Amino acid sequence: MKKIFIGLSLLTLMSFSLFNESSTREIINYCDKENSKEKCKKALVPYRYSSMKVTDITFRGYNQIKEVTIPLFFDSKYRFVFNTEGLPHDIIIEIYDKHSTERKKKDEPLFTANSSQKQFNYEPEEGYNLTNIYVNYLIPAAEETGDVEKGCIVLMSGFENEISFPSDGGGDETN
Amino acid sequence: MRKIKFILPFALSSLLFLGACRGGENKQEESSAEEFEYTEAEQEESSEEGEQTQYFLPSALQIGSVFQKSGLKYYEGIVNSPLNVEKYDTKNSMLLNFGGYSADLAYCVLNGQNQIALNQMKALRGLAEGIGMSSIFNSETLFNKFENNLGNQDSVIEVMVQIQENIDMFIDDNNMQSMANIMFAGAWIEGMYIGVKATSNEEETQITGRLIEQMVILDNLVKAISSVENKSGNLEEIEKSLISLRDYFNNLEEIKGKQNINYKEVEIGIDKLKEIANRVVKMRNSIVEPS
Repeated sequence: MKKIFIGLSLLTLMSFSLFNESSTREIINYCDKENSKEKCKKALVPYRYSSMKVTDITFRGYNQIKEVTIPLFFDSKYRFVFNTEGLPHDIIIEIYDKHSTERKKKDEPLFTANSSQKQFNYEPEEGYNLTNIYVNYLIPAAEETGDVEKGCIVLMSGFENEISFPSDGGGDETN
Repeated sequence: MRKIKFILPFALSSLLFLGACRGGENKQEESSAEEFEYTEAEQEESSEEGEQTQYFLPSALQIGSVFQKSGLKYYEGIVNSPLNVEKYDTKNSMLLNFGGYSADLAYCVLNGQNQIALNQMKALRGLAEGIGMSSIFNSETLFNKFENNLGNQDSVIEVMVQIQENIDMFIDDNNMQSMANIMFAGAWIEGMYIGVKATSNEEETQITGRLIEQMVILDNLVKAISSVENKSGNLEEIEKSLISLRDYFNNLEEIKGKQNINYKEVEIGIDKLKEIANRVVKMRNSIVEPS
């Protein structure tokens, strides 16, 4: 009899522990970097790959802003490819010519997109006179689902291939 | 007594159960506390900066191609000797020089110096092993492809691009942005050094555009290096020198208070340019010859 009671008690204890475990918050990550990266690379053609930035996003119960600062070389032509397939919710992408701390409310973005487009390009206009651009990810508050939802945006940059190869192999020695 | 025996298992199990629940509560409290702390930290960051900021830094190849476009020629004896690899025995020193050799490699390849480029590539491979990222060469496949295509410039550049992609993925997968920032600092300083040194006396005025244009990146680079926690070795010294260079540059009367300057049209006196050049040379030498 005693053994039965001990057995039952342990069983009860195990059931409660399992129940308790299953009620903890689960992390769901929608990011598939490899897939996004491959698609960005295809969209970069005919530009030559320069750099890549994966921005991880955790959706929370409040609005968030993330900013990516990108320096630009004068006279260079660029293509920036955004892939937002790894996001569970839509966000807004804005590109400015000023850092967020230097902007005024009336300042309009140079470019705006919604992540529902899944993939899009941005190419600064020719003859631009910008030394930096500032990509802002406006992440809206997400409804509480009980789980933690994560995702990512892959941003890839390419520059126009203007590389020319010397025919004579170089100049003189300096020392 | 029998009653006690009867009740005891229930009492024990109840205690255990309560204990388990308590543990669960604690766990939840801990996780809430962690989340709250994180949230607070984020809000603090938000209030200070207005958002979370990331920096997007170009590749050594792109910097090299910008220099090439402005007419930079190849001069022997400028790039860091691959034999120096043995001297770099701390992680930060390896990372800085990894960046430096990347810039050298781009300079050599873009100028058709493929045999020298191969030696730079070997130096990079050695440092990659030391840093723990030899996988960027795809189990030697990329290195062999580089070696076997030395006569084909386009293929060689394609290999460099592939390695850059692998580095970016490696950094991201392993959450090692600090490493990337240090490597970029090494690449930028070496690129600037090449810009200073690969100039004959007649071309001296040409360094203006070349160097000044690269200063666009300096502010981002300083922020990126400041975010690195482990500044062991001479990294702290490098950081101070970069900050000092940025402040010197930003306070030049030709630059001060202006936004989105067309750096190609800015005219800076030769003495000031020489000061910038001297600072770059000093920084670069402290990287390739660590004390």
